[in-house]
Amino acid sequence: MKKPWFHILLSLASADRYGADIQEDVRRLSDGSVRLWPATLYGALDELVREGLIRELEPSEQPEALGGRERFYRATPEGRRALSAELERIEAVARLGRRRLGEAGPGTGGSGG
Amino acid sequence: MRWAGRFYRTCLVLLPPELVRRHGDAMVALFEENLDRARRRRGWSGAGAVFVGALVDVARRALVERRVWARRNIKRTRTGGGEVMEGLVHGVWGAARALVRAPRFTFAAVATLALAIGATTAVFTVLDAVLLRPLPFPEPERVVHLAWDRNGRLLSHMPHFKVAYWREHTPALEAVTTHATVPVRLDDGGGEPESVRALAVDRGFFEVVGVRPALGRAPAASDYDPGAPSVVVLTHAFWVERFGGNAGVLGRTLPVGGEPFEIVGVLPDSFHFPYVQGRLDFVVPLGREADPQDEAENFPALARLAPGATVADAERDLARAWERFQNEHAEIVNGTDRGMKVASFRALYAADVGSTLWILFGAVGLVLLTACANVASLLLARATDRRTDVAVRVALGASRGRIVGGVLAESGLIALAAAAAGLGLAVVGVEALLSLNPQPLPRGEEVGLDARVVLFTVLVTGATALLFGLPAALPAATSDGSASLARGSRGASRRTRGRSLLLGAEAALSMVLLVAAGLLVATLVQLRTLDPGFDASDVVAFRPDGLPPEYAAPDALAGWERAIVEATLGAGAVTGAAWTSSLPLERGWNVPVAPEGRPDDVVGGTEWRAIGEGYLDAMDIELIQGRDFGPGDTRASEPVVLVNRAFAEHFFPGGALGERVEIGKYRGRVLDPSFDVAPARVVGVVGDQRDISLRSPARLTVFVPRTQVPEALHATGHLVVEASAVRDAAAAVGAAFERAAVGVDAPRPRPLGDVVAASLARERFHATLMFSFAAVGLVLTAFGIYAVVGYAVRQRRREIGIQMALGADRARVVRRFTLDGLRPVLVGLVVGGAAAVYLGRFLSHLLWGVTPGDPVTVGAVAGVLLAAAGVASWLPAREAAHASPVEALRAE
Repeated sequence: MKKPWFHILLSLASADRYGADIQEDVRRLSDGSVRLWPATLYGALDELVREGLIRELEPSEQPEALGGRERFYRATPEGRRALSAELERIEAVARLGRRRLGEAGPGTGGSGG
Repeated sequence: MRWAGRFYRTCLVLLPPELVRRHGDAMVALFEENLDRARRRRGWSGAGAVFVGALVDVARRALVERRVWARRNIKRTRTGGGEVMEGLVHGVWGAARALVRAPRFTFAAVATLALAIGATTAVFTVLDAVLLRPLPFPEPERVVHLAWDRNGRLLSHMPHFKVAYWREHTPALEAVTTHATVPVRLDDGGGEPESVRALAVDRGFFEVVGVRPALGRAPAASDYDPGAPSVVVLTHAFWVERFGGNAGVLGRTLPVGGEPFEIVGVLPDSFHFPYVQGRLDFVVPLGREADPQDEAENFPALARLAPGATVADAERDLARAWERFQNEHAEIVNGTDRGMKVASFRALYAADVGSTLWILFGAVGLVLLTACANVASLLLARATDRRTDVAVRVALGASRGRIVGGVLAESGLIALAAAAAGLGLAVVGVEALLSLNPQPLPRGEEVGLDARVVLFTVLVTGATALLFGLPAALPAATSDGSASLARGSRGASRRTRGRSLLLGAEAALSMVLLVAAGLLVATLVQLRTLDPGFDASDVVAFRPDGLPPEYAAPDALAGWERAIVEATLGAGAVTGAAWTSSLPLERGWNVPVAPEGRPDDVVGGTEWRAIGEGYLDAMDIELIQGRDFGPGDTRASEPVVLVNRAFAEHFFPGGALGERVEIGKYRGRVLDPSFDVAPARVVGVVGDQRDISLRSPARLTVFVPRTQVPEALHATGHLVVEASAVRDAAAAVGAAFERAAVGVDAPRPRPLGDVVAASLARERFHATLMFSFAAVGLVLTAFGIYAVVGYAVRQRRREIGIQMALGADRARVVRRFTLDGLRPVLVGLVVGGAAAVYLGRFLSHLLWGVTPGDPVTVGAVAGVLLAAAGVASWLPAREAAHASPVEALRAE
């Protein structure tokens, strides 16, 4: 899964958000290491909408007390499934990695074959 | 930050229109918010990083979207600016690939443009530094140059007294100053004295140039008084080199000319004085008294306008001061003086070179236009080759805007590559220009590639990309798809007409350049073949470096000179030898001379030359009347002179022999006590010789015997030796100096032919450069003709094959194609010839002996261009006619 997609889905997993909010949330989640620039962010949002992984909220679904100019987005069930699958894949890689590190031991450099 | 947001919004045009329509406002708002936050947290550098990152992000996304779009394949029906942009971005990848796939075309186009852009940038670099860049002073527009107006001629240098007078009487100028470079020796008594260069400055210098010492102080007003304790301000480079940049240098002394000068300040590293070439080590007060009688040395005048004053105010004050000056100092006012005037740096220091640079810039601009026409022609040919491809794409729904964008992308890439290469070539070009130029350039040390030059290159590149890209892009924009396909090769006629037009334009441009080059070469030839009034062909000049003090007295020197001449003549291969105070075509002395009893007829700048016996013979100078100097003309005998024909005709139209002249006296005032002698009698009249330059007619000249040289003009001279070979002369002089044993090395030989050639250095420079530009233009044009005719031949191979198979005369086929190629050239030749004659007026001050519309030159040049065009046309035509008809028919 493309990195911007992953981070956007991750951000939308816990709340409905608009563009600037997503950027700020991703930055917080990654401790400042991931930055979604505006063109990448909004281009990816459009892609995700086309793929059906997120959708734009109707005006009636928009949270109040905001100007109404922001477009809010929500992950679709398909989007959540895709995110879940990606997280599982990452976990599997993490587990494998840790096993290998455990087998080889720190600084021994040998491999199990 | 609003401008940043607006700029960002403009860049969004690279993205797909739907994306921008849906999210444009949000993207700009987010960008501005990010920018603001970064500035608050990390200052302007942080904001800058965000600015750049956001723009890179847009470009990156634009490329990603292109791939997404290609997959979705939405049909576009409108052509518009946004579409062209889409075509551009999408086209950049395609263009890059296409150019890499056609290496010969790409190389030809890039190399052609790189040469032209490089040459244009090189000339602009020099032009900018010498003429356009503001002076390196704070508020440079408030610095004015003052010049002495003598009968409309502006003299940049004048006696110190005049500078001081105008300083006192011009309130609109807050400071008026002058300067002189002085070579001095640092001599502390022990060890080898060190030669350094000082800038001696008058009051007001630091105010005019607006510089304050980085350390210590500038000289105070009292430091400029004659006889005041000597102080010095070091330049940064000298301070670092000699004192290691030690701040404790203030108060120490520097042994200038053996005298201790107190160091009171150090100039900042940024200080640069454009009026002086080469290194400066320190600045000292001039300490000169303002003496109306002191005319021994002349100085430039530089001033700064007072706050709130304008140039008009300054001019008014200058005029008022001139009125006062005429009343107070009538005795030193010349009849032709008109007082002090405001002048520009260009008028005083760069008049000649300025106009030459503009002419060169114009010429190199024509070369650039020729190169653009050439590349446009190449691109047009390429477009013709791909017309089927374009028609298919349009028929399948591709927007014309995208196709135009694609073609422009190709032009842009070619232009970019050419600009990069061109900048590199410009560095070499600038070095070449500076080294070829016979005279040091004013502000020459400031010549170099900088931001202004790079900006110029970028603008020129953009303009050339459009100039050669549009002619090729327009056919693509007007392609009408399937109709064009159906028309087939018949549709190519419009493109062929376009290429013919371009060819005609190239021929016209070449004609202008060639005529200019022809005229300058003709000037050079005229000057080289004219009779200078002497024969330089087998004369060699020698100048001793200096003589020991015992030869300082005129009699001792005369005796020594006689001995050297006798010893030199003793060598068999030498046929003549004599001394002279100065060589022709090199500056000598000017002294006022007037006929006896007619002091008001004085000519202030008469050429004065002291010659020994045998000079006229050695130099083959015609003796028209009277006699040459002889052994009887000594210091004790009657003062005698020879005069040239111009002098005789000016002062003594009835005959000069026997008349008397006063030398060194100006309206009754004797310039130096050594001139206070009896009037000299004219004993002979000689032919005119060119003295300052070959271009200028001979000036009034007097010759005095070496034995009668006044103390004021006593100096070592030049020995001229007539011999069949330079080495014979050198051997004879070497032996003579050795025999004389005065401890002076034999001087190096300088053939007089070299002196004459050196006087033509400027003309040679102009002719060489213009010839190079014209040659490049001609080669480009010939190459263009070759390509166009060759292409036409290839396009009509089938037709040629049929004609040949039906028995057509080979020669007729060749003639037809050759004439087809020549037709646009002929038109261009006529247009170019007319333009050349019209533009020739701008060259007229560089020409000599030939008029701007000289029919011989124009005719010869037209012949050369026609011949080159004829050959370039004939070669591909001949190939076609000699190809096998069967193969030509098979080839379609």
